[in-house]
Amino acid sequence: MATSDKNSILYTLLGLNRASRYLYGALFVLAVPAFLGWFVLLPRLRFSDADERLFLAARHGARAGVEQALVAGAHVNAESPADGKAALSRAAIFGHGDVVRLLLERGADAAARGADGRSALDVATAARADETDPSAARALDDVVATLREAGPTP
Amino acid sequence: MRIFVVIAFGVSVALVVASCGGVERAPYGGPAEQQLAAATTAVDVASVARLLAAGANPNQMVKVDGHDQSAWFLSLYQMRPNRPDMVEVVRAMLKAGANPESAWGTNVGSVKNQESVVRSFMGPSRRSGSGPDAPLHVAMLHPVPEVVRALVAAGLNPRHGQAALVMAIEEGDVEIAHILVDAGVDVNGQPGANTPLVAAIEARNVSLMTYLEAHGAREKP
Repeated sequence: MATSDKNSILYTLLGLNRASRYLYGALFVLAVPAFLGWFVLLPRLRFSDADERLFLAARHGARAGVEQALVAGAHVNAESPADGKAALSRAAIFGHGDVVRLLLERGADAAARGADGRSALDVATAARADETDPSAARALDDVVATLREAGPTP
Repeated sequence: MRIFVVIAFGVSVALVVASCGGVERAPYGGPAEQQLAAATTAVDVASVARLLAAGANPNQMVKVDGHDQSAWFLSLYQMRPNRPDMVEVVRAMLKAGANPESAWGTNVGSVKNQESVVRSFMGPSRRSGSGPDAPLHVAMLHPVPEVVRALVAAGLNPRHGQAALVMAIEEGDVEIAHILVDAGVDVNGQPGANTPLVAAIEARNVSLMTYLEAHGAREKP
């Protein structure tokens, strides 16, 4: 166990020469910002506050709110970090036909699927099957028809 | 060289101590607890109150039908929505010192008997608070708002109520959801596949969704 130099015994144990000590040291130091960037910065960039407002407006069927959020920089196909669904699914499950049409107009992907593998059409169809209130059922029928037209998803 | 051995030894001791933190040993009771368990199964409020006053411990397990059960666990496990007397039993036990974070029993697979080498000579043990054996989770098998309210009043840690909140929302149990949110359970927690907000959306419950939004629920937890 010859540790003639003053460096840590770890280097000797790992069999590293001086060049690789610097290399691994640099990697070790750079790992911290890389870790932070990947787990803190990137998720924040992927789902902004404008996206949050887009989802809120889509849930409540607020056309004006959706337009404002899109102007503020929301991505129309942004996926929710909670379940991977897009704003289109949020509008579809509550039967907001006008918001669904607006989102499709602005380029929303009707074929996109969430983390559970269900598309907006699947969500709306399931909601329609559960609905008993006639006016809400009509709204959901409208959404289902709109989504069928928009996407070739079976 | 010696210093590294000392450091390695210290680190491993610290790790062992840290991994044992929060683990509690299975408590076992005697004849008084046996009577308490019988009175609980019979939903005999007067006897339960008398035995608790005489010093019976609701947290300690006794053999019931060949399984280790505590009276505290039995009262929660046998709760049904049409049993107001059982709610009284739960209240009495909480007042007598039943642990709102932990109910010992074997019906929901909480205590695995002798499954590992450690357990074979140390006896059953487990962590308190979360998991299927936490009182709140046992209570959620047959949700009764009064029981959840009593648990919260007895000092339940809000961090251990996240799964129950999502469960209550999925079941459309608005009152329990309100109790848990008012008790300080994080509306942005993600205990399983769903956050509370997503659960309310999937259940198409607009009023509950609006309530959660008003309490700060967001898509990005």
